[in-house]
Amino acid sequence: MFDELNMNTCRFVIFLALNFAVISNLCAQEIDFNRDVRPILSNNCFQCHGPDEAARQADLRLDTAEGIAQMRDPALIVKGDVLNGEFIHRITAIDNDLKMPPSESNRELSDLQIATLKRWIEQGAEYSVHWSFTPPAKSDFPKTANDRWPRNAIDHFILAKLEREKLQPSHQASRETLIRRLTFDLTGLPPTPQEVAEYLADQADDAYEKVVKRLLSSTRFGEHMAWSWLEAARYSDTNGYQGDRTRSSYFWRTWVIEAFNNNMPFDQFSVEQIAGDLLESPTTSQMIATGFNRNHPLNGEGGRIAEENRVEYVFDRTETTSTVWLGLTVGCARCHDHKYDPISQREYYEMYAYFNSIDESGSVDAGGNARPLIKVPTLAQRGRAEELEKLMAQLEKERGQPVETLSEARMQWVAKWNSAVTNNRISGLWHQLIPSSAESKEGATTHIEPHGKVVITGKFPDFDDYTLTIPLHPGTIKALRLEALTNGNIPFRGPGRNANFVLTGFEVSLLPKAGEPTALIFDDAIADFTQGGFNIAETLNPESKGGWAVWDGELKTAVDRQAIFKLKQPLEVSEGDRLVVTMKHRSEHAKHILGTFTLATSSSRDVTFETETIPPADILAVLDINSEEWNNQQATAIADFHRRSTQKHRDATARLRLAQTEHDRLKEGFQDTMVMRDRSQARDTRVLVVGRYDNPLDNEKLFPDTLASVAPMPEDTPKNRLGLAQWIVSKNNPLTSRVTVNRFWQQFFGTGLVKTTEDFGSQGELPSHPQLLDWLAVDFQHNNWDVKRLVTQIVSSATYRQSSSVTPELLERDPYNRLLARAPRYRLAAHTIRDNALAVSGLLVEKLGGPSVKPYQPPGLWADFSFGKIKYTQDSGDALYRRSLYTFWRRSLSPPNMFDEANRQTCEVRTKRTNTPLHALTLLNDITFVEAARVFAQSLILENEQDNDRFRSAFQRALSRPPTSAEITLMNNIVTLSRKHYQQKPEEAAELLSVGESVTDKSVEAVELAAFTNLANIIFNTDEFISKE
Amino acid sequence: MHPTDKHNQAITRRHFFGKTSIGIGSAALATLLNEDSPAAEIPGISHFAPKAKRVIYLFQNGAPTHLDLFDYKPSMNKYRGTDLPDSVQQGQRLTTMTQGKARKVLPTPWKFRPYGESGTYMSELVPHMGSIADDLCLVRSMYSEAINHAPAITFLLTGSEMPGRPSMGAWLSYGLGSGNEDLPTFCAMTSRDREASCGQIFYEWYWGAGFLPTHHQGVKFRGVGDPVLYLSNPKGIDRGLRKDLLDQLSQLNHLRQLEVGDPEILTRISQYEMAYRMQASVPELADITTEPQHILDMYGPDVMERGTFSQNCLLARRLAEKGVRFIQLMHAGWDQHNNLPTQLAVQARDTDQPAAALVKDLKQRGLLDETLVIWGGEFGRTPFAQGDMNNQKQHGRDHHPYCFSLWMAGGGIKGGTTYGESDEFGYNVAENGVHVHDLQATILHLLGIDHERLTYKFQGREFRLTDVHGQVVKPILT
Repeated sequence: MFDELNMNTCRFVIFLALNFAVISNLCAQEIDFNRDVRPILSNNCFQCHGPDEAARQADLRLDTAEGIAQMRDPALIVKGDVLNGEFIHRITAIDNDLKMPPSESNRELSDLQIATLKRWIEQGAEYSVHWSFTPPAKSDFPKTANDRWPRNAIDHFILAKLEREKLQPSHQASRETLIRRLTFDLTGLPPTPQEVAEYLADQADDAYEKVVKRLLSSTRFGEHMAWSWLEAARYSDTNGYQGDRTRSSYFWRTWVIEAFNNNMPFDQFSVEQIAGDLLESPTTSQMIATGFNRNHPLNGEGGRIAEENRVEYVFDRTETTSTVWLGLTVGCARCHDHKYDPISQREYYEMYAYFNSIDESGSVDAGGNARPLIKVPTLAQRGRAEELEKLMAQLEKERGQPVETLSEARMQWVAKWNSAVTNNRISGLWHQLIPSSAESKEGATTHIEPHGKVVITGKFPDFDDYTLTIPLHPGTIKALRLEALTNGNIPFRGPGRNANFVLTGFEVSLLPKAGEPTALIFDDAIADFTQGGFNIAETLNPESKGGWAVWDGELKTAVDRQAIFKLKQPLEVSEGDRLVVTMKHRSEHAKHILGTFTLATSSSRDVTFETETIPPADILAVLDINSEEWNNQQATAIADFHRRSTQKHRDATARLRLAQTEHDRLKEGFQDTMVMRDRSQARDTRVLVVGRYDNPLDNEKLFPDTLASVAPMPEDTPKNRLGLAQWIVSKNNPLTSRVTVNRFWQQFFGTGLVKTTEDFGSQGELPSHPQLLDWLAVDFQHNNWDVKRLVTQIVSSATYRQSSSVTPELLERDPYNRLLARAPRYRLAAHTIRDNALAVSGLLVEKLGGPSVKPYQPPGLWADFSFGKIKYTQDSGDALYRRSLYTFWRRSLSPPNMFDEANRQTCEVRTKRTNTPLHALTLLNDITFVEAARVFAQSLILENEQDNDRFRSAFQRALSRPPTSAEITLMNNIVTLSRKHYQQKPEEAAELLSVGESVTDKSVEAVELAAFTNLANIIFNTDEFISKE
Repeated sequence: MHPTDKHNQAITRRHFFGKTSIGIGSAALATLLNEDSPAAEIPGISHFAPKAKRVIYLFQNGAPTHLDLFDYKPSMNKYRGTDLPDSVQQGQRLTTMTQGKARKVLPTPWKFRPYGESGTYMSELVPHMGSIADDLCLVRSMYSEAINHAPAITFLLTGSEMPGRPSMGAWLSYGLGSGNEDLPTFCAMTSRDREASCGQIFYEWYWGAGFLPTHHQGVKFRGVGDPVLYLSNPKGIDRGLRKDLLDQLSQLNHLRQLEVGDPEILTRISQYEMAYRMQASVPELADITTEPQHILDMYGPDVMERGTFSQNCLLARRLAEKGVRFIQLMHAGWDQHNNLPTQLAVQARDTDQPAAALVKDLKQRGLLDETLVIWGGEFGRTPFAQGDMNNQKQHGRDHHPYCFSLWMAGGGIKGGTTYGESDEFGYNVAENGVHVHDLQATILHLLGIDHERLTYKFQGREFRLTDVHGQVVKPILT
């Protein structure tokens, strides 16, 4: 890592072009290739003499030491010799034909740049790898003269640089400022006056730390942190393009909020979003996380070519993932090798290959969404759904318990049946029947399983009769049992084909081996459960439309049920006799047909629902053999049969079916959300000429791979997105941790240590404090990528706690505050300003997660853009006052009061902060702010008697500090002139008070309320209210 | 203003600009420090004496058919109903609407005739445009790359098919700065055909700033509600009261500035002042009742109706008079896939007279010489029929990027000329093709800007409107 020099000063001086003497003086120090030389070469030479092989001129490459050494005759650079060498001759040539860079390139080296290059050659023309591609390392804290100021690591590095610049840090900000700053930075909302008072009163040494802790444990933290991540992920509630249909991606947003709140380690946060679907048995949450790379726009325009769109999406994922995690502009390599960074076009498409096999069509093919999707419970359903899922998994496990664990019970069971068989004690038990044929009158498909279970699938008519023919063994039959069984494989899990059924007829006849069939007569029919309003006896009445039904209204249909039919006369069966059973479903309820069932007979009339069933013949046959002589197959068959016959298994199955059914019903209300899921067959990837979807360069197939110059692939990583994710967060990856801590730093200081948050390549800016960046990156990685810990480090530093006040001298010296001799002071993001006004007025409604809401918006805005095709239906009530994070985001037309926010078309990781009259108009006139002012005014009036108390309270609540007397005077002016105005024009007061849906307290006098509404409106427009100080 | 304040303000502006952009050249900075400096004096960017001070782009979303309006192809008649030869089509990609379907040549059913002294052939559907033929340069050899509306419009206006780059107006605002203290530098207005027969919606990025600082984005002048979003004071606050309140706000902000020293607060104060001025200047501008009747009549029967192309054209003239740099009108319609015989005339009627009136009106005020007016869509339409060739109620033409027409007039353009030619079917460019990037380069050139040097560094790369392409079309320049 290179040493820190006065680089920034150098830059600022150049920028302001104040004094050239200073430049030569400041820069007459040791040259560092990465800091001083690479930027010059990158900007002026690499385009033609850099990594891009195709564009390379004269076969000369200046971005590697080898490239330079290659040219010998004449030598390109003679180390230590500024007078010789083609390089120096060309850059200083006067002849236009020789001069480099050539004039048509529109590039020109300044005198200072040439001087730097000369000095570099003089000092030996050393090369080094681009700084961000080398592994970060923790260096020792630099020595500083002032040893009292630093509070933690950050401060040592900041102070050392300040001291070199002969600057002093600013004093600590006031406690009022600190708590306001902290509360905005950690929660995106202002502190309450009580919170400020408590902090001011807390004299403990760790008073500040306590506030930090409190704020970090608030769920507002996740909501606040989510915003920038949403911008980076180009999150939107709609698809963009023509039609701009609504999608349901908000599950992913909730996921992000919760991940931050639960302090999910950043490496896990990354892996789940890039490749959660490829983790082993991914949870719903891990699937939702992959929505990150489905947040890109979707084109549903008529006439589009789906494959062209799909390729665009793959580009987007490749480039977004690279920008967010690697800080690299890989997009440049889509059409040619990267001009500045060592990323070849081939490597681009190898990265692309990771994202190229998503099971998607390129069309908007699922409502407003595009496949692949999963069904996800809403927040209201989620608790129950998760409980059920857990229960189901547990019951499945119970049912599938390995056979070995049941050995003792099993042996007892074997012994019992052995003795029953041997001692002929099995009469009176249920004897399972195995039909030889089953037919559906309406043509449904019937299946007869080996042990006699009948399953109906296929055609699903409204009404149906089944006819079963069943061979019998000789003996006596006095009763028949029909078991209606649940079945995990058919929709709704039975026992009906559509949950419930109504059996209207149960007719049985004996078909002797020879002779005519005889109908059998039942004199009794009972069931373990019959639905209210039905009577199983009616199954015996051929005219009746009633019969046996099992719905119990509490999701409990999916349990096995039994019906027993007793014969009036015992039936004596001879060899070769068969039974013909007809089961009729001819009720008034269509689609109420049995789906899975089995039949049994008994030689006793005294059977009950608890009477045991004799194991089937093949099982009995095995039981006949001494268990020690069983082969594996036999042992397994017995074990398996036994397990399914245990009460425990039956209970578990019954509970499982119930849970599944409830889950099914819940699931009907689940929403689609887009996820990543690969196709079984990977798509071929080829280099595409200038990124044209239909123009592969050649026939060579490329396979997923990462960027060689960044880091090697860790061993044993799969060749899929999961491998990519693991590579991104691998300890050898020099970029991810740097890029990440830099982005968090930017969130607190307004500018990253590397200002170009999105570009850590050659064309990006160098870090202002490289050693600090590296220290933080390594520390972050070593501490389990703990985000809250990193945030705590940042906000606990003395650097962060400085005052943001600035003197003209310091402003002149360091206008962009890159040295951090003061805390930053800047305008809050538009969404935070809105939240601030809602919170201060008391209107804010806090509710975490869920679908987006539609607060106030000027009427006709959407319709105007879309020819009336898309209309904005404003919500009312609580939805008007939710945090801005939940405001519905239309990609083609973002919420109009959210100026300067990322456009959500493509990934954006750097904050824009401008200052225009349109912002002023928004804050002055938007209903949101006018209503908040009125509600704020009302509580100021109701809670305070005197004007001066109201003024003080207004400042305390809005700005977390008391007003000065000059400020009180100005507030008094506002109220006085407004009172006067409204006294003359009371109708205007009434008009002002009618803005917004919330109701005013009629006990407050209108003129008074209007006057204070104006005051509140102006306070909401002060620079201080909309700034973080 | 107190000298210290003035100093502070200068720093503020540098500070402000530096904070919101990366590696800006001294050029753009100069405009910020001195808004009145003419383009020619800006070092680094302006290399030519500008021929135009501003642009009015009459963008026709949905793609007007060149074959029925501007590109006269009597030779097509003899091919009526025959298949378009493969030698012409050359296997180029078509939209999925006509891909793989029959391609029967459909000559225009409308009559063309020569107009003006120049004798430029145009369709009977656009007689008013015909009446300004001698002021126009009709380019019949435009071509683009995208075959669907949103990408093609985005390409034409931002130089890239994917959203995210600055639009042309934003580039000009960035490069040239403002020409007016009370109005935005870049204004956009939209209108649509009356039957809403076309499905194209407007996207903010058509006049967006992309990665440029957001104050360069076009300000939408709306056809409903406030002419500019949030322009009106809330009910119950009149202009006098607003002024009094803002005076107090300014003082509160000044107090804070003294306390914390942040010069950004001074910028904030001046932005609130401009907001207040805009509250007067914009409605004043939008109030066309002060226009004499004969002027209103020029723009046609819709002129008094807000949100019409006609009224927008009149407003464009008023904005031009006030020195607004880039005025972008977008009129949606024109997408006649299956209703060409019925809809085209309607759309021509809505737009023909107002567009021509704008040119005439600018000319009679001596503004045309310094104002570049452009009329055109994102691409053209196929010479073959979409749908049943013989069913005149339900056929039309599909998207066609390989050749289309547009016209330019005013600042620096040779009037009464045509440029470029298409083949005998109007399918491909036959001569002097003008790529979208060439058009962009030419527009910048007319404003005195070298399109290769107006760049902005973003994500490690110097971006420009014309990407790495674009040739100024010199033959059409005066």
